[in-house]
Amino acid sequence: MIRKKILLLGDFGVGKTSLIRRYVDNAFDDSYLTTIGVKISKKHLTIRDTECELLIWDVEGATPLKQVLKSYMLGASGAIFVADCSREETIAHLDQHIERFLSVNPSARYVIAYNKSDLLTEEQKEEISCKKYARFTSAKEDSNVSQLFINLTEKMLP
Amino acid sequence: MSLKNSSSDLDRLKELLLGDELEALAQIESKLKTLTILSDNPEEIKAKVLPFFDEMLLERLQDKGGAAISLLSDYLARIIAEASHRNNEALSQSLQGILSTAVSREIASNKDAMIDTLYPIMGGMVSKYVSTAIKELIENINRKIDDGLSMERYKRKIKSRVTGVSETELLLQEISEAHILSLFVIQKESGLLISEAHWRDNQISDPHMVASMASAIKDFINDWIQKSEKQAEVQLLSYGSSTLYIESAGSVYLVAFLNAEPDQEQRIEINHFFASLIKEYFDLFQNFDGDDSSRAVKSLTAQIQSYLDTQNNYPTVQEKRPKSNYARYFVLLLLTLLLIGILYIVKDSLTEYAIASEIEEKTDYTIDIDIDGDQILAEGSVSSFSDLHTIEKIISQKSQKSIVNKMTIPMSKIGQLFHEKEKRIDTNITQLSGHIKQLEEELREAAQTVETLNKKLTREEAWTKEQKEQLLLRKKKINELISLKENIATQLKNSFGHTSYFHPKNNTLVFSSSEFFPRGEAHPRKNAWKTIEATVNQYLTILLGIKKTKRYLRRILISGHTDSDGRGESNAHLAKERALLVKNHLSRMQIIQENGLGPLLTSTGYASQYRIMVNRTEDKNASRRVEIEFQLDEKKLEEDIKHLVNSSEKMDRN
Repeated sequence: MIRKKILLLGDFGVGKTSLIRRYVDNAFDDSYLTTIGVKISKKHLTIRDTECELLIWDVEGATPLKQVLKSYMLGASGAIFVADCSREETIAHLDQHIERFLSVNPSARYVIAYNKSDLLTEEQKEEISCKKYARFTSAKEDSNVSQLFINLTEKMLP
Repeated sequence: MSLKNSSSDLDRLKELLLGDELEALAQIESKLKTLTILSDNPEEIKAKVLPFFDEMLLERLQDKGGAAISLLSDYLARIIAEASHRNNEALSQSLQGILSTAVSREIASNKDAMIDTLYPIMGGMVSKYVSTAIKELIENINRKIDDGLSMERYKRKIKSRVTGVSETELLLQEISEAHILSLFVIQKESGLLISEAHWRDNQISDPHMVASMASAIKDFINDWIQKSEKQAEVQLLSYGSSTLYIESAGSVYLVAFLNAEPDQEQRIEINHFFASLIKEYFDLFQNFDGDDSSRAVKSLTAQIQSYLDTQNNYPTVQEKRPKSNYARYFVLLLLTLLLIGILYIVKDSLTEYAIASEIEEKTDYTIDIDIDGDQILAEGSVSSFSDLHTIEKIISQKSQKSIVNKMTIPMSKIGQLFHEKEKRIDTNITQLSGHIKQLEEELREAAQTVETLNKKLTREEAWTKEQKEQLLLRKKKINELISLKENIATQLKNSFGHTSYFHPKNNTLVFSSSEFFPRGEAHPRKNAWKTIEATVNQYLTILLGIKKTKRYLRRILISGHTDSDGRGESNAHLAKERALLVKNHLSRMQIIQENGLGPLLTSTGYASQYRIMVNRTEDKNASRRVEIEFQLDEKKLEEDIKHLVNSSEKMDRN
């Protein structure tokens, strides 16, 4: 069994927790969120005949006044950077999050989720220039959520 | 080597470094000899000359660096060695600032590797110093305890004397004895669980999540501590009686889940163990990538499990100490006696407590129990009669004393209980009615069975009786048959007595002499027939009067005889004639006809074959005669007896 620590990073309110909720059925109580700013969930999956277990750290959304603790990022093998595709500024902040994360974990892998895609029409989606490793997701409509995590896990495995 | 002995080297160094300058200096010197000294103040002269030297030295170092640095390094080492020898303290002070900066930089750039390398050594050193400090602490506490005055102190003192354990250690043990329930080895950065072990069945559900959460909490607290500018790490997390003891190294940390806060001795133990792990699994800890299936991880798991098992089975301090002092045993004996005395005094209170505790444990009721002489008073409030009975039962199991029940049930409960009881009674009655009906049915069936059996028994008895009677009857019949001939003889003998016509020897009637048959005559005399008839009638009456005789009567033989006078042929004819005449006469007799004996009458003649001899002389009168005898069917008789015997035997067997 291979275990990997991954993080979901992004601005406040982009739907990180919703994505995890949609993907994972086993999570710690939400009260941890308010206490130490992180909630840890676990998901078991098999990729290319390899048994994997993702320990998913749902870090409290970053705000200009409160940055994610670097110690939470340490030792992560991968990250999912989440933006709300209906809020441009959250997309704009993605680079900062990625830079900060890679400064702590230079060899880590990542994918990007343009979440809440259910709020946009197909034309609106086309207008958004997607970054590398990015895909539209919707936790509400369960669109692309599993693929997002599987994609990241495939990248992390040797 | 001293500096004095290396003057040639110094000269060479001077030449190398300051060759040109020395030449210039010599020229200056020669010039100076001619120059007027402008100033006599050495400081002024130094200030003017030294800048030239500095410039020149710098140029040398830059231009001829290779050779100069090589030479300098050789000399510098010697200079430092010499300086250290001469004034170590001064040298240390001068180097301290440089070295501190260098070490700080190295640690900052390779922090984890440095900690991992140093931990086993530092951990041991720290443990040693901590142990020494603890010993000193124990001694200090002992001194302080000696000054104190309290009952607890004396108790502890006695215990210490008895067990041989110091009072301080007892004090420390009293505080708490923590047991390690689980051990986790966690990768520091990622919070991934590398290995885990648990004491007995203290399995932690989802240990990987717990490890990550513990890591997050630890990171959170560490972050806060570091914000407070304190170079420290969280080491102890407590919640209620549960404690997480965290021992941190460079790349991993060890989390011990305990049921109480560990004491210094335990912490040192854990530190030692952790240090040995880091030493042994350095590579694994440095390169762990989340794959826990490797052999190294399994070996690590086995090792921490073994450590955990050993730790929790380790004997306590008291157990470690040998106990071989008679005084200790004596004191123990005294203490035991004292304890028994105290127990006797507080026996009732203990019993009261034990009963009340058991009641509370089993029923959740708090009942006041008070032992008063031979009685136990139980006082309190319960909500049902069954609880009341349960409590009484508990009390009676615990004590033989009579129970004074002062327990009450609230009136509101009583009404409810009454209705419940009523319902239960109704249900029970319905159930009982059903049972009674069923029982009645079963009884009826049983009565029928009994009646059938009685009838059968009566039949059997009757049959047995009948069989018995039959058997007796058969036996009687057998006896009758066996003794039939004898019986006939007896009866005939008794009836005829010693009359001349009856010969008891052969049970034969004999009619002879001239009274019946004159010489040469076949016909008997006329008056003889009456005698013959009467005698035969009597004879046959007796025979027929004896039971079964008629059944077995084969024939009645009438044989005629003559005397020896005359010829044989005529005598034979005469004998036959006499017999035939008698036969014919008898066949007309009523008794013969009524009993159907006619066919049985048979006549034969023997002439003088069986003449009567008296003293070797023939009694001719006696020889002229007719004999009448009965003959039984011996074969039939024998068969019947056999048959009866066989059937009787069968009946007997049944």
